[in-house]
Amino acid sequence: MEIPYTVKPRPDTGLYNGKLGIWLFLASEVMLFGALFSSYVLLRVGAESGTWSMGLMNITVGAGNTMVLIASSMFVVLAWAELKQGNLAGYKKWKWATIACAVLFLVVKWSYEWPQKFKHYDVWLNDAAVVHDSFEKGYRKTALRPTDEAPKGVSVKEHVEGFYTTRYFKEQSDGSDGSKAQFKKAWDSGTLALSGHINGYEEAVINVQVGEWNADAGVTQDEAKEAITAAGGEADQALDGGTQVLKELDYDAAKRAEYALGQAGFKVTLSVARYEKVEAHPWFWRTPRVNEDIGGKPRVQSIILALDHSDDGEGHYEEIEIETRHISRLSAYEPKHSTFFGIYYTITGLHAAHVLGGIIVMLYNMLPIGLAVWHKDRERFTNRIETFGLFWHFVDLVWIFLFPILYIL
Amino acid sequence: MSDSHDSPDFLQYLIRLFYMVGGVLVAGTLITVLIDVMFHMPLPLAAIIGLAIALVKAGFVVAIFMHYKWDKKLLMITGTMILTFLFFAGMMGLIMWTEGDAPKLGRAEVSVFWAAAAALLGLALPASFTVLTIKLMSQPAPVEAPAPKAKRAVKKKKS
Amino acid sequence: MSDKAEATGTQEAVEVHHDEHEEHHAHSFWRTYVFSTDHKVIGMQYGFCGLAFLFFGYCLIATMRWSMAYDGQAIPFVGPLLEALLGNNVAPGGVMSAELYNVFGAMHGTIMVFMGIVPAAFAAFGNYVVPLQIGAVDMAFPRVNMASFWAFFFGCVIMSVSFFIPGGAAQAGWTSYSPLATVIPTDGQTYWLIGMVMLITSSLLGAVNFLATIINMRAPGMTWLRLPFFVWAQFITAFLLLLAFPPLEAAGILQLMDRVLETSFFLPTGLVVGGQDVDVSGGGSPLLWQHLFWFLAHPEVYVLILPGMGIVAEIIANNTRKPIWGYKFLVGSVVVLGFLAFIVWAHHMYMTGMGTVISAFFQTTTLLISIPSVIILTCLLISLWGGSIRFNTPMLFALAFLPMFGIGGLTGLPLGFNFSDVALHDSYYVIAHFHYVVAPGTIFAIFAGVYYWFPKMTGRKMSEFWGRVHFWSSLIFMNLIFMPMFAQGMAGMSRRMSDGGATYSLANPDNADVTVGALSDTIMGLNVSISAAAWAMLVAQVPFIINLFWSVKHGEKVESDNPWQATTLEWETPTPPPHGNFIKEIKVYRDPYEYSVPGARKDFSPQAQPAK
Repeated sequence: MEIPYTVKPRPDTGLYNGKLGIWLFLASEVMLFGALFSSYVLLRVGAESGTWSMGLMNITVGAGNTMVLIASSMFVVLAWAELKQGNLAGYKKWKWATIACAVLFLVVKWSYEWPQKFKHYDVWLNDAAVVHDSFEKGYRKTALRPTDEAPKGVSVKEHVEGFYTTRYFKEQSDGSDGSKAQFKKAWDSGTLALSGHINGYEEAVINVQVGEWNADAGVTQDEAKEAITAAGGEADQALDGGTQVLKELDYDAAKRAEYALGQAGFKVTLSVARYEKVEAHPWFWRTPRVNEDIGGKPRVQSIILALDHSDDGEGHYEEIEIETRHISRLSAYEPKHSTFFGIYYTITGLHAAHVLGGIIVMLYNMLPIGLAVWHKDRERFTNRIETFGLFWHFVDLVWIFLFPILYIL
Repeated sequence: MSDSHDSPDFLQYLIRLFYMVGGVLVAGTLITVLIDVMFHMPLPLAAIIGLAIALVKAGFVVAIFMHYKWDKKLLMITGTMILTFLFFAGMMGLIMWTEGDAPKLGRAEVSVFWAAAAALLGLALPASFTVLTIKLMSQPAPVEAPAPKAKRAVKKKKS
Repeated sequence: MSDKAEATGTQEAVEVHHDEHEEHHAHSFWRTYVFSTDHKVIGMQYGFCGLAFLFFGYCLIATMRWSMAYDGQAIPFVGPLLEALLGNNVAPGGVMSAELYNVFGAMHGTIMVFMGIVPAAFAAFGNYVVPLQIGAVDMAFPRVNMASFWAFFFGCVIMSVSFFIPGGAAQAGWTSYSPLATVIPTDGQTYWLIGMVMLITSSLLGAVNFLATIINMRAPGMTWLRLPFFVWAQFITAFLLLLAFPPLEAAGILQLMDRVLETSFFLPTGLVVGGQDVDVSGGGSPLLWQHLFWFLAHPEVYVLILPGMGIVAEIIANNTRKPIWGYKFLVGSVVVLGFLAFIVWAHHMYMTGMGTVISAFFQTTTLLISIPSVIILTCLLISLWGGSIRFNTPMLFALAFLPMFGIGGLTGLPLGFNFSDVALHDSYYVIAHFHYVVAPGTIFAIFAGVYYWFPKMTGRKMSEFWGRVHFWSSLIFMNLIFMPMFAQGMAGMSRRMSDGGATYSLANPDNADVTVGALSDTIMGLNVSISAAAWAMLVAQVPFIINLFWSVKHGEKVESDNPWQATTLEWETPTPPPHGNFIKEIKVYRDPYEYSVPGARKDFSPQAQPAK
């Protein structure tokens, strides 16, 4: 059995099967990305002022990646042209270049662009007075420092307005009254977020208090003894019904001990012993984590935030301390941060998945198993590269539209 | 791409074209960034300019890289793509319209125009599309492969 | 039967020829029957899975009917089983809990639509019959075809497994409206979304394959207007799947993000669940989900019905022994239907607070789409005129399709107007309407197709007698189930109530003061009769199931390759068709339905028979 038109085009349609199939597949891809674009437009048009957190994108990286992808798109079509001329070496040269570009694209995205964002935080506070106070503390020095744009003595509010209008109120980034009015509203009501990197925090060190042992819990004495010894407690004292405090534990260990001892039939109470300063750059922190209630106290007492645009010109950023009781919401620039970041990660993630799939197919076509087709039937292999090229150009095409809507507008 | 375009000269011409299009695309990206950095403009204007540049770039990619320029006579590709973009536009347009058309309190006089527009879009468009499709598809599938030019001229014969 | 002798002669010749190349055709059992790339095997795999899931989905609703008729009472036989399988918190003492009712309700819809009818009507018959009818050796991309089936299979596995996870399967209805679907804490919805992404991927691969096959693999002489109507229906269906499914895939991915990565695409600002603020950024749009969902789900209705129409057209042409009346009208209508299917979706959303202008738009397009449907139905009806009809089982099912689909279609008109939809929205009237379209519509067409093509698949006919028993009992019970629902719906009974509306009935003491609007005893009593009919319907399928399996080995043997004396190409193959289908070179000389051609030797002229 031989399936017709796998290599030579059918005369009346002018297409071989593979090419027809890939164009149909691309039609469905257009609808897939089209639906995501539609969602983007609808969500953006419906977004409340000050929630479309756009101007945070690194345009340089985005533009660089665009060009990398354009180059790969050009290389893949050149590889096909080499095959048309019967030049396998030329094909290999351009194909490796394509793969290199595709890999570079993903490396930039996954090891630089995204992780950068995962460490960058927005903090919303629940009290306008504290917000103003924090801004005042953080930007006082910068606001007084003369720069090209801001003459000496500019007020903190004006200084903040300068970059917040392009970041959150980009709808009127021409600086017309609209965006200023929106900024003023957000400033007065205290809904502006403080943005920056968390350089450190004070986290609770926890006392685990072990209470009475419940003999009816279905656990034998020996097992209970084992559990309490493993947690570092006095076994006999615990089983006699006396309470004791285990040694101070960090959060994770305390939670583990609470679970294990709870399973063993002990009544366990957690309380905060003291707070310990930690210097670290946390990833993916969220509001419930910092506010988690441990015996009436938050797990994290305060965070040290290095504010954006507060450098003294030598790379030192102004740090302010924010108590978590003032925090109403805290989020890294992850999908959860806002609708914009949600759709940004969804579309670019789906696009990156296409790039990854493309890389796999390209590698296959470089391996002996893929190249064997060339040695058997040159035209079939050329067609295969052509259909792959059509897919790859489409991936490029999607990015051409993604770049302006996600990075620029 | 059809076989008539396989001559070495044409391929050389194509390769030159590919390099040029690559240059155009890079230039387009740079222009987009430059405009963004140099001018501040209201969003609608920025959207129009940004998407217009993207459209031009996309046009080059489709026409040259995907060599649609030489494939556009292929009914199946062109037809599918036109259909797809029609439905995409319909999806986006109608969703936006639905969301924008907020209900108003009180009795609203619906203009006859919209019903007429819907009828036109709903009847005339698919009808003309169908006539066209059937007309184009009525070409007989040749039992032997004829020269591609000849097939349009052959009228369908009923047995 | 000189044709047949000729055919057998060629067959032997080709078999000899085949033997020489047999080495690389000799596949193991696994490659031949399980991981096969042959379109016929894949078609039967789809068919088997599809029918099995249709049955399973029906069992779910039969169980739910108990809860509606006798709320709070233990289900006999099935109840203890549910308790043992799913745990005593979802079915305490064999009584169906409201959560379980929701699970079954959501999964009944999902299974019937995406795992039952689409694979059975579109994928199974499409895979088996379309390449045969266009004279192709196989699908254009056999391996993609296999991938499509296995993607479907894994989707089904994920969906089925989700019944047994803690909390059970999806509970938010087959429409999975956000924010409800997003905020339900159990994992069922996540499984549902992943399963749907698999099913959608399968459908996309299948659709690409069908389109490429129909466009590029037609036999010489098989022009577009010589395609049997079934192939046209499949062609348009494949286009609908290709272009309408991706938006749902996008929506599914967005909802998956909402559930897994806690974004808020479909969650509005200030959402409060259970008295607590939800910790999300907000700013999403619940309506966006509905738009993207219905952008698929309305065309999906046509995905469900068009293959059925195609099957019915084939069978009616064959058994009236005359050409289909208005073949070109049928083709034109089906194309228009396919086009219009994309611009009517918001009629499902009249109650979401749309403006008047856009409502007028969607109302107009919705009513326009009834025109091609009516043309198709009329063409099929007129085809019966003056025919010498053979009332065999497939024809009985095909004939029943016409009035049943007619009822389903016409009762849809009041739902298409937004003023009457306001009253009928989400009531049992809607349930009755769309079930009349898909249950006695599409499912009858599927039965008809099974009876009709069974001889080609196995070389044996299914039992006529038991076929008739199956048909008449199904027809009667089907109407006894769905006809009363119109009355219930117009009386104001709402969908998705595990007690069958008892809360809002006059029998409920809380409603003693209610003078207007509470459900009367008559309306509530219909619940019991509907449930009884539903269980009888389940029993009525037993003859079919037994008949299907029994006839594979013991059915009446067909004595020719063309037992129904049909004209289309699938009957030109040996029975059952071998790998590669045709043993002689196929050329097409005629239109698809040349029955009773004046002056012809026989009352049918196969497409592959050369003109004089």
